[in-house]
Amino acid sequence: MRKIVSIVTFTLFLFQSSAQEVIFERDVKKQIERTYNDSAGPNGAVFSHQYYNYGIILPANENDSAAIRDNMQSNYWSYGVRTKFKLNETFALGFDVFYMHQRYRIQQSDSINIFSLGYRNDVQKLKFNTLGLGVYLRINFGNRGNVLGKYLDMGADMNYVFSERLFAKNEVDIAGNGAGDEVVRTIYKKLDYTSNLQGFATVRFGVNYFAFIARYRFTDMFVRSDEFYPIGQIPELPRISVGVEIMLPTE
Amino acid sequence: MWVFLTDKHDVVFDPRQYFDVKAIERRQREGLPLQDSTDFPLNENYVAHIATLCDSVCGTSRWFNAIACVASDVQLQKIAALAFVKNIQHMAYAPVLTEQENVGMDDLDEDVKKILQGQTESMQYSLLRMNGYVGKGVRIAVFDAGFDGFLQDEAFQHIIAGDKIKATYDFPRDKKYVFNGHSHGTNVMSCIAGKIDENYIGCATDAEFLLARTEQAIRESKVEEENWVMSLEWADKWGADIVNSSLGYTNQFYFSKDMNGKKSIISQAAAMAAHKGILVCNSAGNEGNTNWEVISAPADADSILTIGGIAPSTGYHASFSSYGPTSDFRLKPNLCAFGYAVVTSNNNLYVNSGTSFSSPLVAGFAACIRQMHPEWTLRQLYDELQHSGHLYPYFDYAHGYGIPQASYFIQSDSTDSVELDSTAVIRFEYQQEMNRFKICVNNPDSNEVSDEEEDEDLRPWMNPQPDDSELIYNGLIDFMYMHVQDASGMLLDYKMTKPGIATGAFIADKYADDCTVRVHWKGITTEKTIRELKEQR
Repeated sequence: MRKIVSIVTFTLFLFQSSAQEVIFERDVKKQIERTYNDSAGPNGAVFSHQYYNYGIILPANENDSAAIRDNMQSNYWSYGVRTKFKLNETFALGFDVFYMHQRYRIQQSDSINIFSLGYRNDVQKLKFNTLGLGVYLRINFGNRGNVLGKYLDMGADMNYVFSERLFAKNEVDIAGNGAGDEVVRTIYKKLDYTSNLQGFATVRFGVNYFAFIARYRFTDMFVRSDEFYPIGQIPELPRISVGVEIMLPTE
Repeated sequence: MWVFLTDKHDVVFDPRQYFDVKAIERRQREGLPLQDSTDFPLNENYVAHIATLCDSVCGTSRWFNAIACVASDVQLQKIAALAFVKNIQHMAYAPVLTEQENVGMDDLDEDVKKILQGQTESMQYSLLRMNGYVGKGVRIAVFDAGFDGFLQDEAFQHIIAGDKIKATYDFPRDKKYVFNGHSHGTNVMSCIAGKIDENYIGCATDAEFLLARTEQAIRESKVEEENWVMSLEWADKWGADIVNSSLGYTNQFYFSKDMNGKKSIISQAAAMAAHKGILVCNSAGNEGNTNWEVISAPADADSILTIGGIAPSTGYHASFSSYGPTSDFRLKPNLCAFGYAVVTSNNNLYVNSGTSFSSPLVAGFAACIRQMHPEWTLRQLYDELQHSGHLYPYFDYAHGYGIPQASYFIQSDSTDSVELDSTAVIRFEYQQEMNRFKICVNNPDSNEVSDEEEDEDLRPWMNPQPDDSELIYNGLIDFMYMHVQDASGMLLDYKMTKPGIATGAFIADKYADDCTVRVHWKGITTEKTIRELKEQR
């Protein structure tokens, strides 16, 4: 009984002590630490933000390159976190950690027809899921306050391919009446002829939350070709891509 | 770029020729000499020489002995090497007008009518008007992005008919016509002096006006702070008593730490205007709920009135209104007014939000007080306006000293202000179990802690908390305000609590002995040092 009385008393005490209802409160010291702080913000000493970018892979004209569909169906997108270290008002160093998905939709042709010699698939796609690390040097232009401002980034990315898929889609004439009445989708996994590492040189021009990006892949996509392409090296996929990037605001 | 020069050698200046008669009167009132070196023109040879070295000269500043120009880096190197050039400073771009989006009520329904009435009556404007204080003879300069629709608007016909527009200038376009561009300035003007029949949108209906367009557009094209500085000098020349400016420069060119009144040239110019006897009212900014959070330039300037916004629905700080203090810990905002206000443009009345409208409401009020006390120096006017705040001597960095009250200047039996309860006292009670002090409001004739009268109309917290955007004005509300101030005068924290049985509490051991706790309720302010409280327990 005494225990119950004690609990009730304590509860009433708590109720009494919480009777004040604060409807507006500011801790000035915390506000000052948060706001009047040179190291915080987009032009602060260290700044991290998330970003999302999307780009298309440009068709290549090289003879030894596989043709891709040029209707923006060969593309990539990535999502990452970027951390920038300010060196001075003009220069900064930055690092990216990101996930990137790449999709190459390969145009089937008689001359260069990778992975399926002697057979033209209706649709053939090569997809990569990668995790990447990037490093860049940033050059800022003009005077600015605590904003990213205008900048040019020059850097390199290294992607680790943790998953790759080769897709083929064909309409097959199973009934033998020439109607092509069955769609057959084939997925090849764990491809042993693709490289696990992809290296890119990256140039990025940005204004605050928005940037244009151009990327050049300087590593080869395929490591061996004897099984699938016995007449020589597998034609390389196009190396240049262009895209846009949106920085996700931190507030 | 601003190119600052070393001297003003060989210049000739006649103040009686240059200044409007009201500018001379203002200097006499302030006890200032008719001229000082900051009024002298620039050395024409210096200006001509700089003009040959840069792309274009945009303007000049007498106050700062500076030339605003456009120049490449190579040109700047040549300019910097000149013997008469002291230094070069980059200019800021893209100020943000301290306006939020329209709330979107075109028709005057009952709630909007309450706002319309409340935006002036929260300052007890009818008391001023009944006594004939409507800004008569006071000259107000308004700097904005354009006054589109002003000439046709019914709310300003009394100004036009009375020939109260004394001068206009469009600085970006270098011409006199300002009644185009953006309607933001028209909105702002309505909060200073607009009226339709007997509906008063602003207080200073009989004032004189100088209208300057200082910005090319909102948030789109580059707008340079040189226009603002030159407008201020133009307003000084034309004898402005009060300047209203509803813009702020934030992170495009500054760090929040730069908000110390010294970094930006417009803040320096605003302080210079105050030195010359002009009362500058500037909006605090709408960054309260962004990462920037604090006031913008020139709201950080010393000796200007920075005006924050309150939400009529809640009776306290509107969430968008920027917070003080300055980065060197001076009090800002100084005062506050409605952050949601009925404005007009092109004969449409609607509710708009932002500290853009708080500032002109106070500027109009200040014009009435200036009419009442033409003999006061700027410092007196500035101090008395702050003392008239409904929270004074309490203050905080969200509300300043509160909403200015006409009853401070005019004694009256009937006002709509917070009712002063002459028998009420604020008491600090030590609660040993919690090791804290409880703040109680009570009547000394009774041992009971008083309950407040249960008038729901005056207590929005009795209902679900209204949102900022709900447009219900319920009169000034008797919240319990409390702050703790350190020995240097800076606040450490502040809060508002709902009045009631236990109206507030704090732990004294959190603070140094020389800190002061100040509590405000219903016009009464009580303060004690932490040392006194510790001795009491």
